[in-house]
Amino acid sequence: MGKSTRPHWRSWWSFLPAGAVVGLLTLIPVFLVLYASLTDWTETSGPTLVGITGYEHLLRDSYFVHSTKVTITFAVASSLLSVALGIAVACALHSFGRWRFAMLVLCSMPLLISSATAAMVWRLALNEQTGLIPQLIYRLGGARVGPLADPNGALLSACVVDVWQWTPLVILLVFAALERANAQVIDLAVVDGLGASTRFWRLFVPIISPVISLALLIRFSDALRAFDVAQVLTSGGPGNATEFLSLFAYARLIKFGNYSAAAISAVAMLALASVALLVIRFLLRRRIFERGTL
Amino acid sequence: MRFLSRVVLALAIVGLSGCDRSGSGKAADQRQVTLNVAFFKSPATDAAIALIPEFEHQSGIKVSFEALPYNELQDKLQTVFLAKTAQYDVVMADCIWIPKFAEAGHLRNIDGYLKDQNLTPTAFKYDDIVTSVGDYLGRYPKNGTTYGFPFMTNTHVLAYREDLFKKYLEPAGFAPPGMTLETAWTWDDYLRASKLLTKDFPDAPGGHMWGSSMQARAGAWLVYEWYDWLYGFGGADFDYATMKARFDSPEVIAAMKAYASMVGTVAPPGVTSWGHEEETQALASGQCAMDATWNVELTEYLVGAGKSPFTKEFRFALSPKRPGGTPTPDMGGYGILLSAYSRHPTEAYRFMVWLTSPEIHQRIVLAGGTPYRYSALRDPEVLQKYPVYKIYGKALELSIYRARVPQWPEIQDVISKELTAVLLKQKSAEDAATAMQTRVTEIVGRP
Repeated sequence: MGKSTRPHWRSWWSFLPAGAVVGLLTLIPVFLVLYASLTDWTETSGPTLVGITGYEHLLRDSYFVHSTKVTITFAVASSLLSVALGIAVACALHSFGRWRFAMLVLCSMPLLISSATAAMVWRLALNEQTGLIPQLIYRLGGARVGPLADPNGALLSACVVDVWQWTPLVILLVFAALERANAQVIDLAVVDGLGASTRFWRLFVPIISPVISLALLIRFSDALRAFDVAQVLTSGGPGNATEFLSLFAYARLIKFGNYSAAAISAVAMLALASVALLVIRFLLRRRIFERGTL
Repeated sequence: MRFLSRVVLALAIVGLSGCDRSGSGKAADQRQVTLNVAFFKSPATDAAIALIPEFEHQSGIKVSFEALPYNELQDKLQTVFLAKTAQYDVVMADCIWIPKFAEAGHLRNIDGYLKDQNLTPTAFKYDDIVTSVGDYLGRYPKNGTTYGFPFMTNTHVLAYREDLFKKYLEPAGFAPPGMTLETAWTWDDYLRASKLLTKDFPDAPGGHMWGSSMQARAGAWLVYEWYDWLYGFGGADFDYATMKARFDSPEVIAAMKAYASMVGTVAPPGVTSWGHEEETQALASGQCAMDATWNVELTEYLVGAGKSPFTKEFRFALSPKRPGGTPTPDMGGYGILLSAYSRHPTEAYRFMVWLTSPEIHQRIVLAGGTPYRYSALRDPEVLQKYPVYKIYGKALELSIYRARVPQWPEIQDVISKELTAVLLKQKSAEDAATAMQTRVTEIVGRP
């Protein structure tokens, strides 16, 4: 009996440092946010517990519903596009011969820029009066309108900026998976005369499928909490066309001093992220992992 | 043994440094006060920073200055005030934050200091501050307390070009936009003139000129530009006696329709993404001909050397009015306020008095700040450099305050969202007005 319990207690002690760090950095803030979400705490009045009243109010708020829809649209579009583009570029780079690492470094440049700076550069490029892109469209015979003035154009622009900045991360992940794979198998496929399409679906996809799930998880969770890109590029506009949940929560916390509403928005983001990530994992396990055998 | 001796030595050093902190260090702290101040990055702030060494030399008080962009300033103040820390002694705050900060107890009452002649010398001339501006940017009416002084103002004026006026508007029977209440244009005049000036024009970029510039980006840009129309059409946001929202009135709906009618007809379709900078660039480059605006950067940009090929042609007038009425521009700006958590409130107050004194204010205005003292508004040197201030003082006196409630930032957000929906033709003005009314009533009704 004594022999069997000793390792058990030792394992608990070894867990303590990690547990303390997780508790301090994650669990305590989460519980504080949950508590704040159940109060009516504002900058001018202290917290009083009101239960789920705030949640009921927010779920009926058309601005919140709109922000949720925009956030999901952005996250789905941005993560899928960046993963698809990342796979395509990484596969192309992999067949680049000895120059592939130099090309990889070039492709990774956007990752080195902070997202606020990237958004600022794109905002200048998309500026209706002085921006390179609208000027180019205008000179090619298009209308003189900046995309940021239109709700769909602004959302699309935010997606493009996000995809531009984060596709290199997917490229790196996929490229690393391809480099790790057995080079002889890939060479044999070329020697056997397998077409590009067959090689991609039958060879590359099984190799990179675990990385795809990882890339999707990272990209989707990143896109769900995207803030800088909308704050700097569009200020959430025009109107609330690009007011993601992160901006929605920020406005309530910093601009309005409505701490409970900000906490509820943060809880909503957390719930959304958790559900979405569970769905992604479920789908990927069923569809890709089962196919992925070499 | 060697390790043990090192530990003892380290402990001794820590102990000695602790003694030093509680002894001679404290005495040094008492000799030298350093004030930490956070300001909004603006021409007025840049001018103030350049003058700080004079204050430090005169007073022996050091000033550590942070000039921050709007959002960053807002983030920092909110965080610092929430934690009730003494990080800043003096803060520059947008007018719409003042009620919130005052209500939450983040600001220090300076009424006692104002009466103390040792701290507020006669030469400070508090009465020289435009009365309404001093009230709006330094006081909170709910408790009648003074928390600070104005530092930067803005209000609406009408900017137009004399060459275009003479060529296209005078022959069409227009009188120049007025410098007096009687001769100010009506909003109908402004819209008709904008239509006449919207035309293919070789001097304009791309060969096409728009009659009016706008700043209709979601947020303060849009809301306060529209507020000139709101008041100008006889509308109001609140019945100030009862604080009941009045956004569903016919005047508010008419103001929304008229303002929205400009987008894509007499103003470029992209103005829904324009803020101060884009609005000014369009005017300075000749893309747009006129502007009824509250843009504080506008004056410096238009009169600044080399910033516009039309610098000599720009003229300024009172903003338009409704027929039979008077111009009713909206007042905005920033105040400098004393933090309730400051450990050096007396020194901080001395700094505020120095910074807003008549002499320093005049120098800041000449360097690009906006005026709030009668003396600066009448100063020949100021008027020669910035002719717009001939009309600006009158506009300031005519200006109307926004509702001074702590929930104002949230109200502004609602107006911005609903008005943008009208500009983008996603909603009718009537539906937007109903939504504004419902939401604002709910917001001000909260305990």
